[in-house]
Amino acid sequence: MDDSELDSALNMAKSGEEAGVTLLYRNLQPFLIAYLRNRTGSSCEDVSQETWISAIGALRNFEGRGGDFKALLFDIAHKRVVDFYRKESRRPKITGINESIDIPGNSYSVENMLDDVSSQEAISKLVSNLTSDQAEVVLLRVIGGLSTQKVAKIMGKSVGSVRILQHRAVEKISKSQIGVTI
Amino acid sequence: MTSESDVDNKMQEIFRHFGDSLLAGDLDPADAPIELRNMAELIQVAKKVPLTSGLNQEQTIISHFRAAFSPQVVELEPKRRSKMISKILTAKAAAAAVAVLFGGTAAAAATGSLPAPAQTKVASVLSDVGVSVPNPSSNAAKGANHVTGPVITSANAFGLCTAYTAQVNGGSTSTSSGATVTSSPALTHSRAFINLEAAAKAANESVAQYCASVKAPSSDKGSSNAASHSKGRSESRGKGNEPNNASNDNPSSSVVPSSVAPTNPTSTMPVPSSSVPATTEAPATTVPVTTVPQSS
Repeated sequence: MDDSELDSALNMAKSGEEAGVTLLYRNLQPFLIAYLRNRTGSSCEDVSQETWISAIGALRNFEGRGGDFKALLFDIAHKRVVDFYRKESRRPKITGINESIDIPGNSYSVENMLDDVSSQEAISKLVSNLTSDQAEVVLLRVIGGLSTQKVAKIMGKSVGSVRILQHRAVEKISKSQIGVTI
Repeated sequence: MTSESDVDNKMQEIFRHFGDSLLAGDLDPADAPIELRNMAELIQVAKKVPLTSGLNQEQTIISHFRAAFSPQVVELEPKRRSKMISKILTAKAAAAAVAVLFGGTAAAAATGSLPAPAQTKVASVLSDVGVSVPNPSSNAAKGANHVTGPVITSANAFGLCTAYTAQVNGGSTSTSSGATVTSSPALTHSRAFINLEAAAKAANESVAQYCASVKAPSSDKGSSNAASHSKGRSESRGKGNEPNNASNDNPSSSVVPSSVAPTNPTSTMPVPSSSVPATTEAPATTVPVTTVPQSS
Protein backbone atom coordinates (compact mmCIF):
# COMPACT_ATOMS: atom_id res chain seq x y z
CA MET A 1 0.00 0.00 0.00
CA ASP A 2 1.54 3.29 -1.05
CA ASP A 3 1.19 6.57 0.76
CA SER A 4 -1.82 7.80 -1.25
CA GLU A 5 -3.70 4.56 -0.57
CA LEU A 6 -2.86 4.89 3.11
CA ASP A 7 -4.14 8.47 3.10
CA SER A 8 -7.36 7.36 1.44
CA ALA A 9 -7.88 4.52 3.93
CA LEU A 10 -7.27 6.90 6.82
CA ASN A 11 -9.82 9.41 5.52
CA MET A 12 -12.40 6.67 5.10
CA ALA A 13 -11.78 5.43 8.62
CA LYS A 14 -12.00 8.92 10.05
CA SER A 15 -15.37 9.39 8.40
CA GLY A 16 -16.59 6.21 10.09
CA GLU A 17 -16.32 3.79 7.15
CA GLU A 18 -15.42 0.30 8.25
CA ALA A 19 -13.69 -0.33 4.91
CA GLY A 20 -11.18 2.36 5.84
CA VAL A 21 -10.18 0.84 9.15
CA THR A 22 -10.15 -2.61 7.55
CA LEU A 23 -7.64 -1.41 4.97
CA LEU A 24 -5.54 0.25 7.64
CA TYR A 25 -5.58 -2.87 9.77
CA ARG A 26 -4.76 -5.28 6.96
CA ASN A 27 -1.86 -3.18 5.73
CA LEU A 28 -0.35 -2.06 9.02
CA GLN A 29 -1.06 -4.96 11.36
CA PRO A 30 1.50 -7.38 9.80
CA PHE A 31 4.31 -4.90 10.49
CA LEU A 32 2.97 -4.07 13.89
CA ILE A 33 2.78 -7.70 14.90
CA ALA A 34 6.29 -8.32 13.53
CA TYR A 35 7.60 -5.48 15.67
CA LEU A 36 5.69 -6.62 18.76
CA ARG A 37 6.68 -10.24 18.28
CA ASN A 38 10.28 -9.17 18.70
CA ARG A 39 9.53 -7.01 21.70
CA THR A 40 6.93 -8.90 23.70
CA GLY A 41 7.18 -12.48 22.41
CA SER A 42 4.02 -14.49 22.95
CA SER A 43 2.15 -11.48 24.36
CA CYS A 44 2.31 -9.73 21.00
CA GLU A 45 -1.34 -10.45 20.16
CA ASP A 46 -2.63 -8.91 23.37
CA VAL A 47 -0.40 -5.87 23.08
CA SER A 48 -1.35 -5.49 19.44
CA GLN A 49 -5.03 -5.49 20.29
CA GLU A 50 -4.54 -2.88 23.01
CA THR A 51 -2.57 -0.79 20.55
CA TRP A 52 -5.31 -0.84 17.91
CA ILE A 53 -8.02 -0.04 20.41
CA SER A 54 -6.08 2.99 21.56
CA ALA A 55 -5.38 4.04 17.98
CA ILE A 56 -9.06 3.76 17.06
CA GLY A 57 -9.93 5.86 20.08
CA ALA A 58 -7.55 8.55 18.82
CA LEU A 59 -8.68 8.23 15.20
CA ARG A 60 -11.65 10.61 15.31
CA ASN A 61 -9.58 13.62 16.32
CA PHE A 62 -6.44 12.55 14.48
CA GLU A 63 -4.93 15.12 12.13
CA GLY A 64 -2.30 13.99 9.69
CA ARG A 65 -1.66 11.69 6.77
CA GLY A 66 -1.43 7.93 6.46
CA GLY A 67 2.27 7.88 7.31
CA ASP A 68 1.55 9.90 10.43
CA PHE A 69 -1.07 7.41 11.49
CA LYS A 70 1.41 4.60 11.07
CA ALA A 71 3.81 6.53 13.29
CA LEU A 72 1.02 6.99 15.81
CA LEU A 73 0.34 3.26 15.77
CA PHE A 74 3.98 2.42 16.49
CA ASP A 75 4.16 5.20 19.06
CA ILE A 76 1.27 3.61 20.95
CA ALA A 77 2.82 0.19 20.50
CA HIS A 78 6.15 1.43 21.88
CA LYS A 79 4.39 2.78 24.97
CA ARG A 80 2.54 -0.51 25.38
CA VAL A 81 5.85 -2.35 25.19
CA VAL A 82 7.26 -0.12 27.91
CA ASP A 83 4.16 -0.76 30.02
CA PHE A 84 4.45 -4.46 29.29
CA TYR A 85 7.96 -4.65 30.62
CA ARG A 86 7.13 -2.43 33.54
CA LYS A 87 4.35 -4.82 34.47
CA GLU A 88 6.47 -7.85 33.89
CA SER A 89 9.34 -6.24 35.79
CA ARG A 90 11.81 -7.33 33.26
CA ARG A 91 13.85 -5.77 30.54
CA PRO A 92 12.97 -6.27 26.90
CA LYS A 93 14.21 -9.59 25.66
CA ILE A 94 15.00 -10.24 22.05
CA THR A 95 13.15 -13.45 21.40
CA GLY A 96 14.36 -16.19 19.17
CA ILE A 97 12.33 -17.43 16.29
CA ASN A 98 11.20 -20.66 17.97
CA GLU A 99 9.48 -18.94 20.87
CA SER A 100 8.01 -15.97 19.05
CA ILE A 101 6.18 -17.30 16.05
CA ASP A 102 2.49 -17.82 16.51
CA ILE A 103 0.58 -20.37 14.50
CA PRO A 104 -2.26 -18.61 12.70
CA GLY A 105 -5.53 -20.12 11.52
CA ASN A 106 -6.39 -22.09 8.42
CA SER A 107 -6.14 -19.06 6.13
CA TYR A 108 -2.44 -18.99 6.76
CA SER A 109 -0.80 -20.77 3.83
CA VAL A 110 2.43 -22.72 4.06
CA GLU A 111 4.05 -20.28 1.66
CA ASN A 112 3.10 -17.34 3.84
CA MET A 113 4.38 -19.11 6.91
CA LEU A 114 7.71 -19.71 5.20
CA ASP A 115 7.87 -16.05 4.22
CA ASP A 116 7.09 -15.20 7.78
CA VAL A 117 9.80 -17.45 9.08
CA SER A 118 12.26 -15.91 6.66
CA SER A 119 11.26 -12.44 7.71
CA GLN A 120 11.29 -13.38 11.36
CA GLU A 121 14.63 -15.10 11.02
CA ALA A 122 16.11 -12.07 9.31
CA ILE A 123 14.73 -9.72 11.98
CA SER A 124 16.06 -11.99 14.67
CA LYS A 125 19.53 -11.99 13.11
CA LEU A 126 19.47 -8.21 12.84
CA VAL A 127 18.64 -7.47 16.47
CA SER A 128 19.96 -10.47 18.35
CA ASN A 129 23.23 -8.83 19.39
CA LEU A 130 21.93 -5.31 19.92
CA THR A 131 21.10 -3.45 23.07
CA SER A 132 17.45 -2.79 23.76
CA ASP A 133 17.57 0.79 22.48
CA GLN A 134 19.59 -0.20 19.39
CA ALA A 135 17.12 -2.98 18.66
CA GLU A 136 14.24 -0.56 19.11
CA VAL A 137 15.75 1.84 16.61
CA VAL A 138 16.41 -0.92 14.07
CA LEU A 139 12.94 -2.42 14.46
CA LEU A 140 11.15 0.91 14.18
CA ARG A 141 13.23 1.89 11.19
CA VAL A 142 13.23 -1.46 9.36
CA ILE A 143 9.85 -2.96 10.31
CA GLY A 144 7.97 0.26 11.04
CA GLY A 145 9.51 2.03 8.09
CA LEU A 146 9.74 5.21 10.13
CA SER A 147 12.15 8.09 9.64
CA THR A 148 14.89 8.93 12.13
CA GLN A 149 12.87 11.95 13.24
CA LYS A 150 9.76 9.92 13.97
CA VAL A 151 11.75 7.25 15.79
CA ALA A 152 13.38 9.96 17.89
CA LYS A 153 9.96 11.33 18.77
CA ILE A 154 8.58 7.92 19.67
CA MET A 155 11.54 7.04 21.84
CA GLY A 156 11.67 10.44 23.45
CA LYS A 157 15.23 11.00 22.29
CA SER A 158 16.96 13.57 20.14
CA VAL A 159 17.53 12.84 16.47
CA GLY A 160 21.27 12.90 17.14
CA SER A 161 20.95 10.26 19.83
CA VAL A 162 18.94 8.06 17.50
CA ARG A 163 21.50 8.50 14.74
CA ILE A 164 24.25 7.41 17.13
CA LEU A 165 22.20 4.41 18.20
CA GLN A 166 21.55 3.31 14.64
CA HIS A 167 25.16 3.90 13.62
CA ARG A 168 26.36 1.65 16.40
CA ALA A 169 23.65 -0.89 15.58
CA VAL A 170 24.70 -1.03 11.92
CA GLU A 171 28.32 -1.37 12.91
CA LYS A 172 27.50 -4.21 15.29
CA ILE A 173 25.28 -5.99 12.77
CA SER A 174 27.89 -5.59 10.05
CA LYS A 175 30.59 -7.11 12.18
CA SER A 176 28.39 -10.05 13.14
CA GLN A 177 27.37 -10.66 9.54
CA ILE A 178 30.85 -10.88 8.06
CA GLY A 179 31.06 -14.16 6.31
CA VAL A 180 27.38 -14.87 6.79
CA THR A 181 25.31 -15.63 3.73
CA ILE A 182 21.57 -15.26 3.60
CA MET B 1 49.21 -2.01 3.11
CA THR B 2 46.36 -0.62 5.25
CA SER B 3 46.37 -0.61 9.01
CA GLU B 4 43.48 -1.77 11.23
CA SER B 5 42.61 1.79 12.09
CA ASP B 6 42.35 2.64 8.42
CA VAL B 7 39.83 -0.21 8.02
CA ASP B 8 37.83 1.08 10.96
CA ASN B 9 37.78 4.59 9.59
CA LYS B 10 36.64 3.29 6.21
CA MET B 11 33.84 1.25 7.83
CA GLN B 12 32.74 4.25 9.90
CA GLU B 13 32.56 6.30 6.74
CA ILE B 14 30.48 3.60 5.01
CA PHE B 15 28.10 3.31 7.94
CA ARG B 16 27.74 7.07 8.14
CA HIS B 17 27.09 7.31 4.43
CA PHE B 18 24.84 4.32 3.89
CA GLY B 19 23.45 3.61 7.34
CA ASP B 20 20.34 5.69 7.02
CA SER B 21 19.35 4.39 3.58
CA LEU B 22 20.30 0.89 4.66
CA LEU B 23 17.86 0.83 7.57
CA ALA B 24 15.21 2.54 5.48
CA GLY B 25 15.47 -0.37 3.04
CA ASP B 26 16.38 1.97 0.24
CA LEU B 27 19.79 0.43 -0.36
CA ASP B 28 19.71 -2.26 -2.99
CA PRO B 29 22.17 -5.04 -2.01
CA ALA B 30 23.58 -4.92 -5.53
CA ASP B 31 24.47 -1.26 -5.06
CA ALA B 32 25.70 -1.59 -1.52
CA PRO B 33 29.38 -1.64 -0.59
CA ILE B 34 30.68 -5.13 -0.18
CA GLU B 35 30.90 -4.58 3.58
CA LEU B 36 27.16 -3.93 3.81
CA ARG B 37 25.88 -6.30 1.17
CA ASN B 38 24.90 -9.11 3.58
CA MET B 39 23.19 -6.69 5.92
CA ALA B 40 21.34 -5.05 3.04
CA GLU B 41 20.06 -8.46 1.94
CA LEU B 42 19.08 -9.28 5.52
CA ILE B 43 17.13 -6.04 5.87
CA GLN B 44 15.38 -6.63 2.54
CA VAL B 45 14.21 -10.03 3.75
CA ALA B 46 13.19 -8.65 7.15
CA LYS B 47 11.04 -6.04 5.47
CA LYS B 48 9.15 -8.67 3.52
CA VAL B 49 6.63 -9.14 6.25
CA PRO B 50 3.79 -11.31 4.92
CA LEU B 51 0.68 -9.17 4.63
CA THR B 52 -1.45 -12.00 5.96
CA SER B 53 0.42 -12.14 9.22
CA GLY B 54 -1.37 -11.54 12.51
CA LEU B 55 -4.75 -10.61 11.06
CA ASN B 56 -6.81 -12.87 13.30
CA GLN B 57 -7.90 -9.89 15.47
CA GLU B 58 -9.62 -8.14 12.61
CA GLN B 59 -13.19 -8.72 13.81
CA THR B 60 -12.31 -7.58 17.31
CA ILE B 61 -10.75 -4.40 16.01
CA ILE B 62 -13.67 -3.74 13.66
CA SER B 63 -16.16 -4.19 16.47
CA HIS B 64 -14.23 -1.68 18.55
CA PHE B 65 -14.23 0.65 15.58
CA ARG B 66 -18.02 0.28 15.26
CA ALA B 67 -18.45 1.04 18.95
CA ALA B 68 -16.27 4.12 18.67
CA PHE B 69 -17.78 5.39 15.44
CA SER B 70 -21.46 4.60 15.80
CA PRO B 71 -21.66 7.03 18.30
CA GLN B 72 -23.61 9.85 17.42
CA VAL B 73 -25.95 7.72 19.52
CA VAL B 74 -23.42 6.95 22.19
CA GLU B 75 -22.25 10.52 22.53
CA LEU B 76 -25.53 12.32 22.09
CA GLU B 77 -27.41 10.15 24.52
CA PRO B 78 -25.77 11.46 27.69
CA LYS B 79 -26.09 15.04 26.43
CA ARG B 80 -29.77 14.49 25.69
CA ARG B 81 -30.29 12.89 29.08
CA SER B 82 -28.51 15.69 30.89
CA LYS B 83 -30.58 18.21 28.94
CA MET B 84 -33.73 16.39 29.91
CA ILE B 85 -32.66 16.28 33.56
CA SER B 86 -31.87 19.97 33.53
CA LYS B 87 -35.24 20.68 31.92
CA ILE B 88 -37.04 18.66 34.57
CA LEU B 89 -35.07 20.34 37.33
CA THR B 90 -35.80 23.74 35.84
CA ALA B 91 -39.50 22.93 35.61
CA LYS B 92 -39.50 21.63 39.17
CA ALA B 93 -37.67 24.67 40.44
CA ALA B 94 -40.08 26.93 38.58
CA ALA B 95 -43.07 25.03 39.93
CA ALA B 96 -41.67 25.21 43.43
CA ALA B 97 -41.06 28.93 43.07
CA VAL B 98 -44.61 29.45 41.77
CA ALA B 99 -45.99 27.30 44.57
CA VAL B 100 -44.07 29.26 47.16
CA LEU B 101 -44.98 32.57 45.59
CA PHE B 102 -48.65 31.88 45.05
CA GLY B 103 -48.95 29.65 48.08
CA GLY B 104 -47.53 32.37 50.26
CA THR B 105 -49.62 35.01 48.54
CA ALA B 106 -52.72 32.87 48.82
CA ALA B 107 -52.07 32.20 52.47
CA ALA B 108 -51.51 35.87 53.09
CA ALA B 109 -54.62 36.73 51.09
CA ALA B 110 -56.67 34.14 52.94
CA THR B 111 -55.69 35.64 56.26
CA GLY B 112 -56.22 39.16 54.98
CA SER B 113 -52.62 40.01 55.72
CA LEU B 114 -51.83 41.61 52.39
CA PRO B 115 -51.75 45.38 52.01
CA ALA B 116 -55.23 46.71 51.31
CA PRO B 117 -54.77 47.35 47.55
CA ALA B 118 -53.16 43.95 47.03
CA GLN B 119 -55.77 42.26 49.18
CA THR B 120 -58.52 43.90 47.13
CA LYS B 121 -56.92 42.75 43.88
CA VAL B 122 -56.40 39.20 45.09
CA ALA B 123 -59.91 39.01 46.50
CA SER B 124 -61.29 40.24 43.19
CA VAL B 125 -59.28 37.72 41.16
CA LEU B 126 -60.04 34.82 43.47
CA SER B 127 -63.74 35.66 43.61
CA ASP B 128 -63.83 35.10 39.83
CA VAL B 129 -62.74 31.50 40.39
CA GLY B 130 -65.09 31.01 43.31
CA VAL B 131 -62.56 31.42 46.11
CA SER B 132 -63.47 33.90 48.78
CA VAL B 133 -60.95 35.78 50.86
CA PRO B 134 -61.35 38.94 52.93
CA ASN B 135 -61.92 42.02 50.78
CA PRO B 136 -60.99 45.31 52.40
CA SER B 137 -63.04 47.36 49.95
CA SER B 138 -66.27 45.47 50.57
CA ASN B 139 -65.61 45.55 54.29
CA ALA B 140 -65.02 49.27 54.09
CA ALA B 141 -68.36 49.66 52.37
CA LYS B 142 -70.03 47.79 55.17
CA GLY B 143 -68.27 49.69 57.89
CA ALA B 144 -64.87 50.92 58.73
CA ASN B 145 -64.54 48.71 61.76
CA HIS B 146 -65.97 45.34 60.90
CA VAL B 147 -64.96 43.75 64.20
CA THR B 148 -67.72 45.14 66.33
CA GLY B 149 -67.97 42.60 69.08
CA PRO B 150 -71.17 41.40 70.65
CA VAL B 151 -74.19 43.62 71.10
CA ILE B 152 -74.91 44.15 74.77
CA THR B 153 -78.20 42.46 75.42
CA SER B 154 -79.92 41.39 78.57
CA ALA B 155 -78.75 37.88 77.90
CA ASN B 156 -75.05 38.59 77.48
CA ALA B 157 -74.79 41.66 79.73
CA PHE B 158 -74.81 39.51 82.82
CA GLY B 159 -72.14 37.23 81.50
CA LEU B 160 -70.00 40.11 80.33
CA CYS B 161 -70.38 41.82 83.63
CA THR B 162 -69.42 38.67 85.44
CA ALA B 163 -66.35 38.31 83.29
CA TYR B 164 -65.60 42.02 83.62
CA THR B 165 -65.84 41.86 87.40
CA ALA B 166 -63.73 38.77 87.55
CA GLN B 167 -61.15 40.41 85.33
CA VAL B 168 -61.10 43.52 87.47
CA ASN B 169 -60.88 41.58 90.68
CA GLY B 170 -58.20 39.31 89.33
CA GLY B 171 -56.07 42.18 87.99
CA SER B 172 -53.19 43.54 89.97
CA THR B 173 -54.56 47.06 89.87
CA SER B 174 -58.11 46.28 90.73
CA THR B 175 -59.54 48.15 93.60
CA SER B 176 -63.27 48.10 93.15
CA SER B 177 -63.95 51.30 91.36
CA GLY B 178 -64.91 51.58 87.72
CA ALA B 179 -62.21 54.14 87.01
CA THR B 180 -59.46 51.73 87.63
CA VAL B 181 -61.13 49.16 85.46
CA THR B 182 -60.89 51.15 82.25
CA SER B 183 -57.19 51.58 82.72
CA SER B 184 -56.66 47.84 82.59
CA PRO B 185 -54.95 46.93 79.31
CA ALA B 186 -56.67 43.59 79.18
CA LEU B 187 -60.04 45.19 79.40
CA THR B 188 -59.42 48.02 76.99
CA HIS B 189 -58.28 45.54 74.36
CA SER B 190 -61.46 43.49 74.60
CA ARG B 191 -64.06 44.54 72.09
CA ALA B 192 -66.82 43.04 74.22
CA PHE B 193 -65.77 45.05 77.24
CA ILE B 194 -65.51 48.20 75.15
CA ASN B 195 -69.08 47.59 74.10
CA LEU B 196 -69.97 47.03 77.72
CA GLU B 197 -68.35 50.31 78.66
CA ALA B 198 -70.20 52.04 75.86
CA ALA B 199 -73.48 50.62 77.06
CA ALA B 200 -72.72 51.82 80.56
CA LYS B 201 -71.77 55.22 79.24
CA ALA B 202 -74.98 55.42 77.27
CA ALA B 203 -76.80 54.84 80.52
CA ASN B 204 -74.69 57.57 82.16
CA GLU B 205 -73.23 55.01 84.53
CA SER B 206 -69.88 53.54 85.29
CA VAL B 207 -69.37 49.97 84.28
CA ALA B 208 -69.55 48.88 87.89
CA GLN B 209 -72.78 50.69 88.31
CA TYR B 210 -74.10 49.34 85.07
CA CYS B 211 -73.15 45.81 85.96
CA ALA B 212 -74.63 46.09 89.39
CA SER B 213 -78.00 46.76 87.79
CA VAL B 214 -77.79 43.78 85.45
CA LYS B 215 -79.85 40.83 86.56
CA ALA B 216 -79.09 37.29 85.81
CA PRO B 217 -81.18 36.15 82.85
CA SER B 218 -83.93 33.63 83.44
CA SER B 219 -83.36 30.06 82.43
CA ASP B 220 -86.03 30.32 79.71
CA LYS B 221 -84.35 33.26 78.08
CA GLY B 222 -81.06 31.56 78.22
CA SER B 223 -82.32 28.48 76.54
CA SER B 224 -84.08 30.59 73.93
CA ASN B 225 -80.90 32.46 73.17
CA ALA B 226 -79.00 29.29 73.12
CA ALA B 227 -81.47 27.85 70.73
CA SER B 228 -81.32 30.85 68.45
CA HIS B 229 -77.54 30.82 68.57
CA SER B 230 -77.52 27.19 67.75
CA LYS B 231 -79.95 27.82 64.96
CA GLY B 232 -77.76 30.54 63.56
CA ARG B 233 -74.78 28.27 63.52
CA SER B 234 -76.67 25.52 61.88
CA GLU B 235 -77.93 27.92 59.23
CA SER B 236 -74.42 29.05 58.64
CA ARG B 237 -73.34 25.48 58.33
CA GLY B 238 -76.24 24.85 56.03
CA LYS B 239 -74.54 26.93 53.37
CA GLY B 240 -72.15 24.08 52.90
CA ASN B 241 -68.97 26.05 53.12
CA GLU B 242 -66.98 23.44 54.97
CA PRO B 243 -66.61 19.85 53.99
CA ASN B 244 -66.96 18.50 57.51
CA ASN B 245 -69.76 20.75 58.71
CA ALA B 246 -72.01 17.96 59.86
CA SER B 247 -69.49 16.62 62.28
CA ASN B 248 -67.95 19.93 63.30
CA ASP B 249 -69.01 20.58 66.87
CA ASN B 250 -66.10 22.73 67.80
CA PRO B 251 -67.38 26.28 68.37
CA SER B 252 -63.96 27.74 67.77
CA SER B 253 -63.69 26.29 64.33
CA SER B 254 -64.07 28.79 61.56
CA VAL B 255 -67.36 29.35 59.89
CA VAL B 256 -67.21 31.52 56.85
CA PRO B 257 -70.16 33.91 56.60
CA SER B 258 -72.49 33.27 53.74
CA SER B 259 -71.76 36.68 52.27
CA VAL B 260 -68.19 35.70 51.57
CA ALA B 261 -68.69 32.00 51.18
CA PRO B 262 -67.09 30.41 48.10
CA THR B 263 -69.59 29.30 45.52
CA ASN B 264 -67.45 26.44 44.40
CA PRO B 265 -67.05 23.90 47.17
CA THR B 266 -64.17 22.17 45.44
CA SER B 267 -62.05 25.27 45.60
CA THR B 268 -62.78 26.05 49.21
CA MET B 269 -59.76 27.53 50.82
CA PRO B 270 -59.20 26.97 54.53
CA VAL B 271 -59.75 30.24 56.30
CA PRO B 272 -58.24 30.80 59.70
CA SER B 273 -60.72 31.85 62.36
CA SER B 274 -58.86 35.09 62.94
CA SER B 275 -59.74 36.27 59.46
CA VAL B 276 -63.43 35.70 59.81
CA PRO B 277 -65.22 38.96 60.37
CA ALA B 278 -67.81 39.07 63.08
CA THR B 279 -71.26 38.30 61.82
CA THR B 280 -72.80 40.92 64.06
CA GLU B 281 -72.18 44.37 62.72
CA ALA B 282 -74.22 46.46 65.12
CA PRO B 283 -72.24 49.41 66.42
CA ALA B 284 -70.95 49.26 69.93
CA THR B 285 -73.21 52.14 70.88
CA THR B 286 -76.29 50.06 70.38
CA VAL B 287 -78.72 50.66 73.21
CA PRO B 288 -78.64 47.78 75.57
CA VAL B 289 -81.75 45.73 75.72
CA THR B 290 -81.79 45.62 79.45
CA THR B 291 -81.25 48.69 81.43
CA VAL B 292 -81.31 48.22 85.11
CA PRO B 293 -81.49 51.13 87.49
CA GLN B 294 -78.33 51.87 89.26
CA SER B 295 -78.04 50.34 92.61
CA SER B 296 -76.17 52.35 95.11
